[in-house]
Amino acid sequence: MRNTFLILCCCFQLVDLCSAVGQDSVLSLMQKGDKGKWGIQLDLQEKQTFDPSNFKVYTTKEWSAQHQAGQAIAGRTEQLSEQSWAFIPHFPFTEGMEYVAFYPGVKLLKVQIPKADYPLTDVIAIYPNQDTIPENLLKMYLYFSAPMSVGNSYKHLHWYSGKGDTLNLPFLQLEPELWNEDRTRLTLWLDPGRVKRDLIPNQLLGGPLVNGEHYVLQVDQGWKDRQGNPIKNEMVVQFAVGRLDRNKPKPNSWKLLQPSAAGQNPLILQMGDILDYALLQHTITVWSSQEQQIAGRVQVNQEQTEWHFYPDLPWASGDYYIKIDSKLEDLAGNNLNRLFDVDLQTQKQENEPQAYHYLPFTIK
Amino acid sequence: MKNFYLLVLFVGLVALTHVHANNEVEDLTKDFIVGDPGIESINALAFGPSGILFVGDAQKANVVAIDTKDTDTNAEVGNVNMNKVDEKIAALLGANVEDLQIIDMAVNPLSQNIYFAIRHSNGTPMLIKTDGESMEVMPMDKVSHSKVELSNPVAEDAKDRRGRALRRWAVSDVAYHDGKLMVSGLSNEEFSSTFRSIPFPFKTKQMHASLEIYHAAHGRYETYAPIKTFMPFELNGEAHIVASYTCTPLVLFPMSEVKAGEHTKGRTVAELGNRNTPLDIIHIEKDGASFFLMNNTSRPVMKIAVDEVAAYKDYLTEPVKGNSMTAGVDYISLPYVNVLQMDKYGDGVLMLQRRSNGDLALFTTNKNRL
Repeated sequence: MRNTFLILCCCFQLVDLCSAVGQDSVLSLMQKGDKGKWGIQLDLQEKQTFDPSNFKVYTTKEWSAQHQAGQAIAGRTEQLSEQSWAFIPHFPFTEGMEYVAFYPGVKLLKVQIPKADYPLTDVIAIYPNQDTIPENLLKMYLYFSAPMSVGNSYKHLHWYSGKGDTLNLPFLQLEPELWNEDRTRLTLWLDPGRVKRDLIPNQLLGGPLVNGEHYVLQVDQGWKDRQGNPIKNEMVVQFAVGRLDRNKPKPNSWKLLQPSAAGQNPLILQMGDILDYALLQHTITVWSSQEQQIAGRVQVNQEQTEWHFYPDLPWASGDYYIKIDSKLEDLAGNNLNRLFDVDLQTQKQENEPQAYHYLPFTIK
Repeated sequence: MKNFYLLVLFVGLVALTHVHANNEVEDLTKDFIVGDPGIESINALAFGPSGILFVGDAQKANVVAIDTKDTDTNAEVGNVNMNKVDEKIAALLGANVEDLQIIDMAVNPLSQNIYFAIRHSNGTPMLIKTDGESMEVMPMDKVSHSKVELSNPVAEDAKDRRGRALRRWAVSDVAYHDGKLMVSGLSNEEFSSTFRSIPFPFKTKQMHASLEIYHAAHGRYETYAPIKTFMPFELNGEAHIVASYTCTPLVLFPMSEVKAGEHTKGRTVAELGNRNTPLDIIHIEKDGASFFLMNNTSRPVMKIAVDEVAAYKDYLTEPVKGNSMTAGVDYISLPYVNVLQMDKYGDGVLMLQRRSNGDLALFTTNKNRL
């Protein structure tokens, strides 16, 4: 008798539960705004009470392994209307990934986040871009057409000898990776422990580059951009290695080609030395004798041996000067004040370091 | 009755300590504001006093101090043993495990809660907190915080046509010691050292000139030497920095010698093997002696006696020959390989280790086993 009563109770409870949740309660994929974040929407039948602790979303992988006992995705719930709530994950859902949304008594939702179309990203330049680089090259720059992913960069770089043998990557695998602000330029350092004279890595392995040898750098296509898509094309560049550069750039020996007044021809500095492409973009500025900076656009020639300055307005006749930040480096990391590595036994007395170097000129 | 007085005294002392602790937090956080600090990347984590977490953001070139309010010291320091940490994090974030990286780990010395800095391959940073069992995401959009910029004054920094800074200081490590936040950074253009010591609480206007730190190889060649990882500690009552440069050796210098604009040379005390860089350096006490522990990119965890470092007065004078490829102060290799993250946990150590079967395990080690 007692058992029958219990069964009846259970039946009533089930009926009660079914009628409360009903067929109208539904889980669905939603998007906040036009291109806003993805979330999961829960519409409950009238009068059904909402318990946020029961509204859970899982990755399909986690749900398949452990169902409700698995680790649910962290997020927050928002009320959309009287009987409607949204689950917004703390970390945005990944495009192309599958998720499972759960609420007791509501049909489970299995959903894949749609993938948007993005233009493919390409490697647009590698600097230095000369055929021959110095044996003590310190840095390289990779430029991309759009923001890249972060964290796996070194896996997509490959280094070969001129004969095609795979070599160890000569770059220091830094964390953090040295990206610019919008992650379209990556700076690579050739392992300074091997470049610096007499350090143990240098003693044991020698420098990463050997004079007279050829090397090939390959950027593979598996490197993903910020959207998770592989880059458009692989890039392969070949370098020959020339002799060491142990000289500081000397602005006083640079040749200045000055334009005439009233025109907008460029002011040209011929440096006679290959300088760092990235630093050349902003370490040299032009000023009038009245301390006004002249607005204009900088262009560096293909060989990185000339700096061209195109003024926004025609040149006015008068006295000017070029201001060069001493941080400007050549390819071997020698800047205007100091050499990359100094041999204290042979080094002559250095001049006092100065923050800037100045080159005056007159427009006639 | 005597017991009653003792109880009153005890309660009074507890209350006083509590008031004192509260005052300390208030003093440190009185300039904090509640809101979104706009963190774009997390490259380094370190705890300061009173549950304040310092977050080094290389993308924004700043350090954010967050008042975690996680100051409960009552938690029992238990053992942590969590397997497949990366998969748990992926499930918590709803992301692919291969898209996530654990960038740094810090243990709150008060609550012993563990904080992870996570980065998705699209660059999104997340902060995750665990007590060793359950995990939660720490929202970063509404927190009590204060921040300090690391870039040079705006006028000095070049911008591209979209107004973005071209030069950036990528934060590589942060640590707090005795009222100062120390930050090491790498430039994405120049090869130079940017080691800064910044008084905390942060002031709106402050000077924190970058310090020139050089590395002298065998007393002959000298170069700029950017610091990758470092740890401040007391040696013979004086504040010192033990650091690892980007070119691998372990160096030591007293804080008193590190002055803005001056040419400071680190004393190389050990070379730790080729193609190997320390990832974290921590300091532990055991049987009345103190040791550094270091986990490395390609070597097991190393243990170095601080006494030996203190007694080591010479620069490394001769290049080292032979297979060991190491020199200077001796070290012991501990049987822990592939340790990616390490921090102090109670008086033991917490390690995040990639096991040979591919699992990523988080576990505590009693100091007697170190």
